[in-house]
Amino acid sequence: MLTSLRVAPRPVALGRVLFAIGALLTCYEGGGFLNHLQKDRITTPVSDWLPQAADVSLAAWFLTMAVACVLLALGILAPLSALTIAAGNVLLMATDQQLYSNHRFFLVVLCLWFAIARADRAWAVRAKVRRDAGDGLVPWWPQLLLVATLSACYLFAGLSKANPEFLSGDLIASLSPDWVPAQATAWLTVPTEIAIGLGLWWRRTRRPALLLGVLLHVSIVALLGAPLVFSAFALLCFASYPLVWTWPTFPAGPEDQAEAAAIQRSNVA
Amino acid sequence: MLTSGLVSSWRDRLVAGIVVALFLVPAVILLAGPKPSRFGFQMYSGYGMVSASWEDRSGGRHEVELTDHVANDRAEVDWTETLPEQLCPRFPDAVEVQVRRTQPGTDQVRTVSC
Repeated sequence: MLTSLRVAPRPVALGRVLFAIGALLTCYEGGGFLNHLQKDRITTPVSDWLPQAADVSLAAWFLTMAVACVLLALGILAPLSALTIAAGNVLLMATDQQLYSNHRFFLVVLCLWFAIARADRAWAVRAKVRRDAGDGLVPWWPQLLLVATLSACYLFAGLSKANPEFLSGDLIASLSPDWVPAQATAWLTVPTEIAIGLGLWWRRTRRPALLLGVLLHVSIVALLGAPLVFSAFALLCFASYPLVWTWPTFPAGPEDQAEAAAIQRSNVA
Repeated sequence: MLTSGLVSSWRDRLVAGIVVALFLVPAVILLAGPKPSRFGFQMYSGYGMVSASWEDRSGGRHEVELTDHVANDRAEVDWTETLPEQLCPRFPDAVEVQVRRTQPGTDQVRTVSC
């Protein structure tokens, strides 16, 4: 039953585009760190038997990642592009301990789900040049995995911050302008992230949770330093927002069928 | 929420199992072991910090701006292991380099003569 449910393709297609832009920014950030390590910074290899930072061609790595992200955004070879982005970021994390981050790991997991989500069935070059037989709907279960990953990310981000060090506000104070009430912000962050993580699962709380999520990410980008890193992370998270916003009722409702039929007609035209 | 009626085949059970694992794995990582941990769930949780300083011949102590010497000063990396030796040649006037790694409940310090 779960794996036979099908939904309209546009929400996950929108998510694919947001995800590809977020992935490109995340790869740009990673390429910057790799560049520093290859120039003059002290390295901390993960293991002697894994490739080191110096072994990776920065130009080739970034070109591959950039092309894969653009292809994914356009909906060309989307599964292969998503898997390429995942492999490239696993390689990056394997070279040096300084290149690991939860954001990068989150990116890799989402790549796996986007690779199987058939996110190129709408708003994609593939959808324009190749017509698929069938109802035009896409399987819902990969979208469930995307939303579950997002939910776990928010939930455990909140739980991991429920500690005296974070709640002291010192970390936020070190990242934000002086006028930001750091300790109050820290105390507010924990329940906010937990509420978003849990709120994605119930019909009545889904859309409020998404609005809270948008406010959270906008405030992070606006108040904390490193706008590139936090904008990239916001886009990776926002990639699953359309799936939550349009969380279906089962079996696929008439609006899903109508949207799929409209997309098939536009692809034929 | 998902209802139990949605899970009826082995494929459904596999997907449901992955969903459960997506929550169980970070929970185990979060609850078990020291924080911050290598490949752990940090997410700007404020655990741990690292600092370094060097001493000149006259006994003066100077703080090291770590971001000038490492690409990313992540708290879970055990910087005390090799960083002091690697910092020594970067400060020709240093007679000693000290790296301090502060984590909840522990304060790890390593000092090497240059």
